Amino acid sequence: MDNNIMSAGTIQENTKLNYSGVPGQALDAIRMRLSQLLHSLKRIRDEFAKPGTQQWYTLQSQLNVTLSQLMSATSTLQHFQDTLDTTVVYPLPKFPTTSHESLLTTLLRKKNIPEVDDWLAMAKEVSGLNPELQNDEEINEILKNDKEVTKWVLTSLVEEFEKYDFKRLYNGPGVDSSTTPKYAKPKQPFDINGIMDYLYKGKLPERESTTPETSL
Amino acid sequence: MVQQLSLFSAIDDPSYDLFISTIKTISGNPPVLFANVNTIWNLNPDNEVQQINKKNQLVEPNRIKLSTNVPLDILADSDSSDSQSRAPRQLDYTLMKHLQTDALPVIEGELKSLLKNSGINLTSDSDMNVDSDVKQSNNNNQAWSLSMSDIPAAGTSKKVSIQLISESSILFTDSNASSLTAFMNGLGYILDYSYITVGSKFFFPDNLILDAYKIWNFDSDKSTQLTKGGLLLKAYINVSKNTDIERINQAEKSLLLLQKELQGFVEFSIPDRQSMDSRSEAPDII
Amino acid sequence: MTRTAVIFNEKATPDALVEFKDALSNTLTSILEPWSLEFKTFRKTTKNERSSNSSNIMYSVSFAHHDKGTVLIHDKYAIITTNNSNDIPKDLILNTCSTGTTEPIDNLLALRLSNIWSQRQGIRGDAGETLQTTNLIVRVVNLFSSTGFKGLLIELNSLDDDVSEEEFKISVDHVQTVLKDINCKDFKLSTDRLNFNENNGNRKLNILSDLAYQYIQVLEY
Repeated sequence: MDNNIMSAGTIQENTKLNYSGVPGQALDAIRMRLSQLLHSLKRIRDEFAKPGTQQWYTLQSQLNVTLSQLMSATSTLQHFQDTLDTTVVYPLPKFPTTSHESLLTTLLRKKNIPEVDDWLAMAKEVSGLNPELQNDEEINEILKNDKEVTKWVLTSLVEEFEKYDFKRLYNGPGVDSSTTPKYAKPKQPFDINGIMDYLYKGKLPERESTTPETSL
Repeated sequence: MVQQLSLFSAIDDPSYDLFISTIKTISGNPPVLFANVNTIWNLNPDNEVQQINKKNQLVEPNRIKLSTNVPLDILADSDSSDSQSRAPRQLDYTLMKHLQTDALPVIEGELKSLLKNSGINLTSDSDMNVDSDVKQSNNNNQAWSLSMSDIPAAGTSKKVSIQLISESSILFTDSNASSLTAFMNGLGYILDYSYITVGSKFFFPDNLILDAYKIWNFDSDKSTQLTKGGLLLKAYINVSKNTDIERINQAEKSLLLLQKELQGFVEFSIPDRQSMDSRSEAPDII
Repeated sequence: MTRTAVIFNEKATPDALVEFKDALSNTLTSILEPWSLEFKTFRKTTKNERSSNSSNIMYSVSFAHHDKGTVLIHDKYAIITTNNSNDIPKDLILNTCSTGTTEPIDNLLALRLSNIWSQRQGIRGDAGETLQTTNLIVRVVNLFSSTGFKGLLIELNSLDDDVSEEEFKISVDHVQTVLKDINCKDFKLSTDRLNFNENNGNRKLNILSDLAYQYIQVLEY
């Protein structure tokens, strides 16, 4: 264990403490990501707590934000995994053990809290993997396949989505309408107001120019 | 009374196939062929009609629309070279591709007899015994819808057209001959003009309907297609309680969503409200 | 075919209804749903020099029974409309002719055409009783206008779909005898037919226009 957070030997109060071993950058980055995530989750919870149903698009965008924050928190954690794995936490003599006892026990806890154990068990169960029957290689293979399928689904989704992106349809110069009729933007064949003039008052478009406008 | 919220657009004939396949995908429903005949009645100029009723309320003279469905089995190809057998190749949305000329999309004798059975004679006078060759039926059970519409609501911030429509369904006209005409004449109205529409209809969630159709004006001597070269598109939702603001707002949202979804392909817009005004503008109204 | 008759007694008292019901009670087989009726008269307000032979009066008869229909009659022409949006023929809705919501034609007349037709008087009968005898459906109701009680109205429908004119006359005569017995004379009776055309398509609707015509006969002339 590379334990070098504190190398001061004495327990006297005036001992100079050496903080150089504290992975401040890592902790700070993680703290920021987690607090963002916490904030978003609270917002979703509050949205649901409001009376009446929420607009689906508000919820969806909120969910998207949360998911991307979760992704960034996860990747930050992964990035600092080595540092964090090799870090041991212990209290200084000055730590107010009585008033902050619960914080202390949480920080010093080695085992996962029961909720986390439940999540882990659930994740293992839904993954369909069984470490007792499959060896590491097999499990890695399955995980790899899973990632590939996810990737394929995402690309297909984007491809399908692009098919309905009409904003790219155009009928500009250089487009030969005889060879690419399928993607030509429809032309306006007639004046819609002229048709309405007929439907509502029987005014035939040809007559339009000869009959003076009669307005009420 | 019904509030009809609507948006309009148009496409040219060559775009019809792409339009159909696009809307089929978006709506999740197949197109349905529909056809109707509409007769528009205006105030008899012999009557002196006032804009104020006995209670001193403003009641503006308005046209009345009587419409009924055209049975699909009397539809015909209008661009078929063989004028004798104009039976459509297929009675589905593809029929619209064969209706690009001025020729009426129906077998005329059948249409005339349908109207005659309800007591509407387009030639307006003596020759009541036309089409004696067409099979006579005593069945004047053709139901009609009688409706009157207001000029669409004013306001520059309107994102969709909102029009109030009053409608009554006529199930049956009871008399031996010419009853609808006689009845409308008795009401104080005379036949102004008539048209046929044929088109494809798509049903969307939230009661949104999208119609793509063509319109033919017809009278005794000639008919013209007003939508030559393309089809009129109408996306609309009818809100049956005209005071239900929540439903009206929801309907507006649904229409705007469709407008946004099709942006870049078909641009939906609001027609000039003046053009959707069916008030009688006859000069002899006091 | 089903035959109908309408009887109206202007001189009856509001109590006559109960007396009539008591007098019939021995022959009743069952008592059915209540019914109601609204009768309106419209007068043309426009001047028309040319076609003066056309009547200036239009009648509307609205039935809460008989499938919630309203019959509008002008001269001898009748149109039958429905006030029930569920009864709009599907063909009209699917072919964009109808928006799917119908309203009573007399409302349309009063709201949108009141510059041509002004409503003259309205007569209503609410919570009428429907009695069934061995061969008739007898509907009785006291009619009121805005000025008060108008009289006793009785609508008769033959129970049998295929009753002959003679058979029906016997049933109607019986009801007339009952009315005379309770000293409720001086009534008007109509069994007139608007259009005598037995082959005419929809008999059920045809009866409705006959019935409306009979109402006009007893209430207006």
